Amino acid sequence: MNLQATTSKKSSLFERVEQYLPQVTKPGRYVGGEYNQVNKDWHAVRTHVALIFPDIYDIGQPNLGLAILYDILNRQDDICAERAYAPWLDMERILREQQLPLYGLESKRPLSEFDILAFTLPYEGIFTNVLNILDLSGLPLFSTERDENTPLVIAGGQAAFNPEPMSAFIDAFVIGEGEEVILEVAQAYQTWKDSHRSRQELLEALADIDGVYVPSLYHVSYNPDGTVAEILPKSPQAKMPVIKRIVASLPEPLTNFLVPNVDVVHNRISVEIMRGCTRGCRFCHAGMVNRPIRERSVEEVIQAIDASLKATGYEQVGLLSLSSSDHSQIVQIVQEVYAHFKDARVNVSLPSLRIASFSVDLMDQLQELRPGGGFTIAPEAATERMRAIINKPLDDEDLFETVRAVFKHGWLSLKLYFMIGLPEEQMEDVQAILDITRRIQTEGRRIVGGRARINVGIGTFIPKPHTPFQWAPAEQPESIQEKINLLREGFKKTGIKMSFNKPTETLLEAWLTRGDRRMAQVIWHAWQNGAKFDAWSEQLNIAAWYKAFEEAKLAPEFYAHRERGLDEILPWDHISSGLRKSFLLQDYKWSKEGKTRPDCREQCYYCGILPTFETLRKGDPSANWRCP
Amino acid sequence: MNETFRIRLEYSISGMARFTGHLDKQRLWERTLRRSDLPLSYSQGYSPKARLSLASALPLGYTSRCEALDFWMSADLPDNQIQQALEFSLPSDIRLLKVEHVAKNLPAMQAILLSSQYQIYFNKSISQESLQRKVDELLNREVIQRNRRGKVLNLREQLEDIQIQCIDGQVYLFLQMSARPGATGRPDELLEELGIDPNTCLIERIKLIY
Repeated sequence: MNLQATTSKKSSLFERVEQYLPQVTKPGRYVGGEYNQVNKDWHAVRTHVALIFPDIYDIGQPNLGLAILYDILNRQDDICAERAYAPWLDMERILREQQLPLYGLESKRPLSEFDILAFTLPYEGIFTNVLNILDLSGLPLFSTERDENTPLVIAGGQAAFNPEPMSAFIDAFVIGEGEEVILEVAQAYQTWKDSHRSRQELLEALADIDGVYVPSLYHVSYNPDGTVAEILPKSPQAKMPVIKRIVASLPEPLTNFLVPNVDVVHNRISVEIMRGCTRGCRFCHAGMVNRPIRERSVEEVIQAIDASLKATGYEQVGLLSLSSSDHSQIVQIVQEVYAHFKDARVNVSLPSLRIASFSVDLMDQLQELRPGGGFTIAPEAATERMRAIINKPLDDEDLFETVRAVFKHGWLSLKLYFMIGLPEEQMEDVQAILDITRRIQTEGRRIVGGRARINVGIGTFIPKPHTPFQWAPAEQPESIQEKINLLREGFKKTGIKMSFNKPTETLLEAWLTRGDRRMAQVIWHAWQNGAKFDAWSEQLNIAAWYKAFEEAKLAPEFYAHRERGLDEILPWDHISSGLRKSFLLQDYKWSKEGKTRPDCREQCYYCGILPTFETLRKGDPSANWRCP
Repeated sequence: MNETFRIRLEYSISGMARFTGHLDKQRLWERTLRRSDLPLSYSQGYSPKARLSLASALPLGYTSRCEALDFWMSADLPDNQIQQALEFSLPSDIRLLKVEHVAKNLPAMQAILLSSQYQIYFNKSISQESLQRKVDELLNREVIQRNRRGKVLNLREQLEDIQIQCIDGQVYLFLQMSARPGATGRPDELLEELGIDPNTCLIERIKLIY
């Protein structure tokens, strides 16, 4: 084989990149070529979209959302969708030293040559990476500095529900579910491109699409105390509010997943069995912003697994939802999955199970399909009082019954998730985490002896926009640290392993998730100060952020630790998840009274979803949202 | 039911596939075999794996025209049918060169492998004369001491043949190095001893010798 011939077809940019790849860790991150990758003739399509996960390949590649969009876009004859990820530090150093731009993994063309750069923002710790990627592509960071010759920069994902902190860097946000709106955005872009009009007209055309938020078409003013005074649309296309997009029923599931050639965080097929959740846990952003419930039928789940296994050769399947045991057909799903795939030599995981012995029975029915390892449950709080405040009611007796069922069914390892820093939380509630975990350990040992393993994951509560706790303050890092110390001391020499996040990590999330537009300056300064990969514990440079707040002349406490006034205009009030603010407020008040709100499949509490999406629901006879 | 069939594949690695490491390549092959829907034999146990065995680890970044693996099937099929099923399932940049049934009692290729041959192509141009000088100097050394992950070894003993070749005006280095278990010569180490940065070369394995 002539070695030169193998490289001659590739772009000259990649020829230069390739020389350096042997020097970086895991070069397979930067080369594409996965099974099921879609390669299109660059010149044969009109619109080139780069789907970008702003963290490393290992984390971004398994992302289901982007995989779905990749499939949808590439089904269009006149669109090609490629992928890009944040390069790890060693690769970034080489790209910068050699002045090589970041590129799409399929065509190996620089991102600056694409028409649309579409970022997903699943969490806030990824924000500075967006700036870094734009910079590595040689593109202006600020939306106002881009013109007709630079790509359109759009973003979506769960963290886009408060788009304001990133609003200076993103031309347009897609709020909510992307399956339909992404094609409308691409269409609007194509029409605009053919028209040779100004960039402003593109932005206006995008704002005209339901669910698309163009920050530059709004003016935000502030009160002397720093709170938002007014959010005003500046053009007729700018909607007030921008209501999230949803699909009436789940589209056909993705089956031709890309199969990476290097190890990634989740090596598996993901089948979404249900979207949305009716439980109404007050801390849970996903449970609030992803309403209503849409289920996938048993047949569709089975067909999706079957087709994906054939298309990928994967040996693991994850059945995804926010609350698997709440699917109305979950028993049938589990039975059918077992019947169809018991000889297929695959593992099937069923995460997000409710704490009930019923869930243990479900997992047990999967028998040899069950992945090895432990059982996981998330009581979130250790006292019934706290569980009422967060609206995750659970009797201790049910918890212990579940625990006993887990060990009796042969699991030896149990992982428990708890949160600290919840509203109204007292030291007794934290102490109770210790006590209840010890009691659970005792139960486990009584049933399976010394082999019982208990792991505890401690998360720190962060009040998220669009949830009933959006008004609540985040707890100060010092008192969070005290609570962590209490737990660490308490779990010493018990054989119980505890994992937790550093208070600084949660602090950053609290600033960013609750920020307004002015936070963009903080993000920009932080990036200038060297912040990137903030979601990586060992990379987080909190000093860079404190300095950034100073440079932007903003106070971090104002964003994180202040209870917001109940009549305050919140920075994200012009973005609607479909829930009424009065519903969230009532729920916040109920939490202070310790009053729970039952699962809304039993009774409607008028959260706002039905009136908001009435037309959509009526237009799709298959839409069954399980709303009474 | 317990009858198994042992199939030997020869394949090439080029392009992007050279950036997949050995462990990942094993996983890549397992998934390729699973996609092919051939009647694979699986290991026993909690998470059964398709029975397969790679002849030799190819260092990350190397291409190859002579890789090999054995896998086992629980039912028999003709070679051409196996070949067809696999070609459809392989990722780009891995090409099947040969498919054949082999006797089940043959020793593992890994165990009987003696040597590997490599051809090295230089990205940075190098004159034949200067390369010859470097090679001559190297061959004059009786001991080429290397430290590989804390273990001291004499690389000179693992070098079996070295030649400078000129094909169509292009200078290549041909190497044959020991590939016995516990005595695997690494071309990148040899290049370093020649004073050539291995990152500026493309190394291709061209033959496995048993």
